[in-house]
Amino acid sequence: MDNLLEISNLTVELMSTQGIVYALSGVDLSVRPGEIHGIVGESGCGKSMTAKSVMRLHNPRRTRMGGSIRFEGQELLSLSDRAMEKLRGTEISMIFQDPMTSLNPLMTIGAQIADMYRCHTGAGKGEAMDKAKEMLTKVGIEPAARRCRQYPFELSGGMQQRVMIAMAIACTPKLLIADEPTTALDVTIQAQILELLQKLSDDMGMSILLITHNFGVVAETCRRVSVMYAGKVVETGETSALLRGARHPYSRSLINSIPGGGERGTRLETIPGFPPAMFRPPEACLFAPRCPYADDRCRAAYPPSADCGNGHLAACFYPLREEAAV
Amino acid sequence: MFSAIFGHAPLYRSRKRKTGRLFTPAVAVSFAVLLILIFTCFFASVLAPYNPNAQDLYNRLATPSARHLFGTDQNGRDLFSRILYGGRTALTSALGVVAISMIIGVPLGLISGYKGGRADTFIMRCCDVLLSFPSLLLAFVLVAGLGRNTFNAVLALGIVYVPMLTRLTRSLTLVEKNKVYVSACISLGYSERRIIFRHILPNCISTILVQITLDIAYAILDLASLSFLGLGTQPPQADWGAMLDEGRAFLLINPLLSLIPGFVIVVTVVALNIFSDGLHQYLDPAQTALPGFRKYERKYLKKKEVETDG
Amino acid sequence: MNTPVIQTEKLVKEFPIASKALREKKKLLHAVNDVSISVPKGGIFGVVGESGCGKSTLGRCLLRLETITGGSVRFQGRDITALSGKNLLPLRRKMQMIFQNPYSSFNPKQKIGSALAEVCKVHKIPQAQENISQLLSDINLTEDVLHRAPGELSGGQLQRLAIARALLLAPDFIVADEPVSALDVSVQAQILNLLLDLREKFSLTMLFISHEMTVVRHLCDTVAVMYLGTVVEQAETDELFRNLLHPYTQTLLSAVPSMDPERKKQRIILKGDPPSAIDMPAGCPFSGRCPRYQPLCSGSRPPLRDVGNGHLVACHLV
Repeated sequence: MDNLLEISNLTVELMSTQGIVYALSGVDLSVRPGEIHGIVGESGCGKSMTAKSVMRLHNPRRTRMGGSIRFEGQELLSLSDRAMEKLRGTEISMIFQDPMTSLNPLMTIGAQIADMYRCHTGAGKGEAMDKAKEMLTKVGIEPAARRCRQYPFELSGGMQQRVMIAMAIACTPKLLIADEPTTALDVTIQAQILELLQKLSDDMGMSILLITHNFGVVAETCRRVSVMYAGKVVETGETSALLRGARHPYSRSLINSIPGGGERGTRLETIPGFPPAMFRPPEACLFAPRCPYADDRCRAAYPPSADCGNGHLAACFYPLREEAAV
Repeated sequence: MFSAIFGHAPLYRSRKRKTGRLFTPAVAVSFAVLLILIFTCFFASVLAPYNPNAQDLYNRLATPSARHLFGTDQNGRDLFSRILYGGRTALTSALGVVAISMIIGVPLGLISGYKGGRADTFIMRCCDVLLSFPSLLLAFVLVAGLGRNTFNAVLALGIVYVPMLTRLTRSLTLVEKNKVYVSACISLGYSERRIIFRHILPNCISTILVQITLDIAYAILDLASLSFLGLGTQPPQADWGAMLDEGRAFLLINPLLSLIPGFVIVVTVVALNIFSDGLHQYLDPAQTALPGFRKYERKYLKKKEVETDG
Repeated sequence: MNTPVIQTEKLVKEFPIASKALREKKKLLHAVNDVSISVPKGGIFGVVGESGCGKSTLGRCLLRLETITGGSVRFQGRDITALSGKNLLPLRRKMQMIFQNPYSSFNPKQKIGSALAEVCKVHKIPQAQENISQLLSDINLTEDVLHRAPGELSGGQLQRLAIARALLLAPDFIVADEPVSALDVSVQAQILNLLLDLREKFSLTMLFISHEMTVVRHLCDTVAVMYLGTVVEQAETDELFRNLLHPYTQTLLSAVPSMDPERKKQRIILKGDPPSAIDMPAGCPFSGRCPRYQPLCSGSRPPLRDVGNGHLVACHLV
């Protein structure tokens, strides 16, 4: 099965007041057609950065990208701006974290969706409006005809996010990138949105790259997941396998530090130390200073991705065994 | 989130920026110009070759020469000395204007923004009244009422500048007031005075500073206008605006009489504007001018080479 | 001493909404509606609910950071509902708050050391230096953080300092308003561990506000679930999670994404959005979205009843 999206050795460098920040230093990721793939990690690990890189949303003057991003075999990083614009919205779409600020407050939601559709297909006003109503129904906003004329501020957060999704799928993209779509929403609304995304993915055969910091979300919706730390992917694999027994010490510590498993009032497992400053490209394993199993080999070179069987990859010299004692 | 990228090491992290410095070439030049102006005007009494009021009636309207660097005016007074002393008057007056507007305007804005309610309405309506007059006209009226001299011109202009500064401070205060740390201060039991002056004010000061730098420029221009119309500095005192006015009658004979003070005013105001712009860019992280990658790498690699060589 | 540290009786808090038209009747936002809770000494009382349910407002009302519209608040037996101005000052020392976003809880232009010293100065706490040093070691931070500005520290460090700042005054009661929601998972675990440690050391009484059931379950002794300004269910934590009675609580817990992908969840998905707190529905506030809705639910507001074991529920159908 050919990968829909193939990211190889993606590097992103940012210019800041403190010098060059190596935000991503070699990310490898692949998304198969029709699959919901999760990227999970803590703040600053580079997951949003990866998402934005696929869509090339960075400020070109302050960012430098390297490596390769292949979408259906086509190299995205070398495309011209014009060609990239054609791709955005039609083949690859994106929804963002805060729906309130992602929608134009001055246009009705019907007009925004129609605008999106017209922009890419050159359809007429009537046809575009019909499409908008169709999309609103598809994402569960009813009655579509009346809602079409409402403005974003009249809708709740969950509704606004649905409108975003409607806009994103109007041209039936093959890949939807969802950058923390439910982080700003309540838990009950989050459940609705995740269910919607899953339904759309099944109905349309659309792949979703879902970025989140919540392992629960990943567990529920994603078939495969990549864990990121300090600008690199440290582990990739099937969600159930990863949650049962993470191979990379970071993933395992992270999963163990989530409350909910153990007894009430007991101490949670924590990861000592701090994430590294990213002013230099990594010359050693970035988790080594905080890892209980690190040794000199880890501090000398960055570990390559080791295959732990079944396509499960972990960037560690000593990946943990599945039933390793906690 | 940005700090997440930089790492949260408990060790000291340098606060100095590596790029996006304050003194870009433009800012550095304008700052240098301003320093020179301030310096020469401050030491006017030492640098001026002649008494600015000393008349040499045999040498009226002379062109520049070795004896008189800029020539002389219609009364034989040395233009260069008059420029220096006039600069002293202009700059100190402008600073006076800004100081008065700051001392009155900033506290008013802070109180108005923080307290809200009646106090806010009252102060804002007073500002509206002042703002409903064209600023220069209002200054004229005040000077005419108070008497024509430099001090009154400064006072009048200071009052005229108060409303804009009050409004600016008030809007900044309104933004800060709703931030969590102010709630924290209230819950810690801090007095209102402490919260306003020790917590909110320091967070507003950088924007106010940018505005003030611009205000100095406007003040110089407005003071010059006042003197030009005879409402500010009275003759025979040297003042750039007054010199501009006096030189009008002699434009065809010796244009330098007007041109030189005019030119000096322009240079000062432009330098202040550029400096203010640069300051604003430096303080606002979104607008900071960052170098491109190639440029940074060239500089950085060069530095590294120097370090390894030396 | 069995007097609860803090107690509310039918607490009501309404915010006036600026009306757009001149003639329009003034609208009210009913943030807190008839809430009566009681926090015993040494306990961690959890308040959980989604955004707009009034939990933050409740916390602020307890601390008297807001004026009270109706009902009463008693602190250590004393009625503090109507206090204002100077009378509130001695109270401030005894009750403190920890806010959600650690970065905005501190004045960005003030160094940490200066901020902590200021607290001591304003409240005339003797031996400030020793107190601060002691607290720093309690929260596992070194003295060099005193020279940093808030922007130079991480979220976890700042939140610990916020806790230390609250503890400097040795308060009798602390309201923690979503203290871990803005933090990463691994840092969250550190802060929760810290709160557990400090609770033992200082015998803290705390109101812990959160929207995450899992965190509240881990930390709190008693939990109250709020919806649209009212408490819909309240019980001791173990009892509550063993026996969820109110439909909203059941929905809330089922909506939490589970880490166990094998479990086939019978998730209750609510339809629609929460009603506005301005135009409150008649009857039960949850009646519009309740999966077990019956016509009698729109009739009258269900009172909060004790159904045994100290388990309180506000539902007609229980």
